[in-house]
Amino acid sequence: MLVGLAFRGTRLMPTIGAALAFHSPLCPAVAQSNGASQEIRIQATVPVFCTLRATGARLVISGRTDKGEPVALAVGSPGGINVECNTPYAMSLDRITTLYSRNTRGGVASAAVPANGNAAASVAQELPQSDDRAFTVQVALASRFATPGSAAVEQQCAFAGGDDDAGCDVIGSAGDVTLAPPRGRAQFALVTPGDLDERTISDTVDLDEIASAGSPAILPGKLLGPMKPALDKPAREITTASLRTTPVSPDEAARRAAVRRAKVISESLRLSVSGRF
Amino acid sequence: MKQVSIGWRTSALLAGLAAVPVVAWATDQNIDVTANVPKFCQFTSVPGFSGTINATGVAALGTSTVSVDAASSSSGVMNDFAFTFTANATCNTPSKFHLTSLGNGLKPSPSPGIASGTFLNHINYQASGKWNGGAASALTTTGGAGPLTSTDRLQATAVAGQVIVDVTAVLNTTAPLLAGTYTDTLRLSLEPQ
Repeated sequence: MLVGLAFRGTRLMPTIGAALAFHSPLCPAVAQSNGASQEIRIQATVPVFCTLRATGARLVISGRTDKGEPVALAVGSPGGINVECNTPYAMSLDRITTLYSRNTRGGVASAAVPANGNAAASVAQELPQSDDRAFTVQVALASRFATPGSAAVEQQCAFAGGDDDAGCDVIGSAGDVTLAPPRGRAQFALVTPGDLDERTISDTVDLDEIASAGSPAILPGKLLGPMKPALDKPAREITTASLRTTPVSPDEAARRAAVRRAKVISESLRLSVSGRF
Repeated sequence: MKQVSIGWRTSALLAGLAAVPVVAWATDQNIDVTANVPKFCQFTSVPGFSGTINATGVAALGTSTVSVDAASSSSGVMNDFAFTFTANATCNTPSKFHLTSLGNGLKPSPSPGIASGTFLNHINYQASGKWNGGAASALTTTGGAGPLTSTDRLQATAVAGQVIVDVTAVLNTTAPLLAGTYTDTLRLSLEPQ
């Protein structure tokens, strides 16, 4: 703070000017404009979450094995799964098929290990072998959500199908599942336990998205073989994701049958969602 | 006219006058003293927080910090928060007071992109401040471009008093919040007039 003192004499004396500068202890925080301000910095952290919601997904059986039995699985429209993450996340879908092994007499998961590192066998079930019983499709659709440190939420419904399409409402009543930081992962599985008989692994599974919200497909393409790498996506809400099977042509089925034929003891489709926390 | 010679006497008289003290003129000397004290306003002590709801304040002269404890639920839905900020201040002249939200709301930096769906990418709040019990100067952030400044409130006299600012969240639960750390700076300004 500057204080100026000016001494002015008469006309007979020359003007004497003096300026004294000193800091006032009263004004330590006064800015040059002599105004004052106080700032409040407000901060809030919104944690990451990913939520899966079912929208009345229905399991639909369609397609036939190379022996003619209908076994294909689908989650048919209307319905699907809403995936909502408030942060960029990775999403993957893989198909887990557990085959009967003559060597081990047990289930061998054939699917690729998903990006989250869990072995496929964590979902697939080893089922007891049965002999030549009449073919019956027994399908259980299990929705299973798990977060680290918390109990899994699991729901299953089972029904017997035949030539007719059958539906089974699942997931929806399981409620919303929220994945908590530091890292969350969710998965659901479509499991086909029972005696599916020996058949060719020839179904292809597509994951596409109903364009009700104008959103692009999330993971287009077939998922046989090695799993597609998880894709980083910005925060988004997927309006509807649907799974469907695409039967192959008889010629293609025959070709594949020549290549690989095994007894399917379970099949799973697993959708994994993980936010980057 | 008779002519008298006073030659030597005149000289002696003049010599005598020179030896006697004589006041010829009297004069005054004025000294004008001027002290120019500038106008100022200042915050004089460490401020304080009170009435905190879902918030924790760390007060300091200059810049204080408020952290919202739980900004959202586990599913991203915004939670309420509130606090009151009190600071002592002095202005040695009439002054005006206003608030400024530098960011016009709490915003994440950097803001993550949104591919689809509806997410909130800002947290709005309402701030209302009074200077020495005067009329309130208030603002409500909108999430638009900042800064956002409230109306000036005048204090007609020099005063030493309190600045009290109430801040409350503008609750918006219509959509989840994007993940991230949201910040804004609320500035309290006192300006001498």
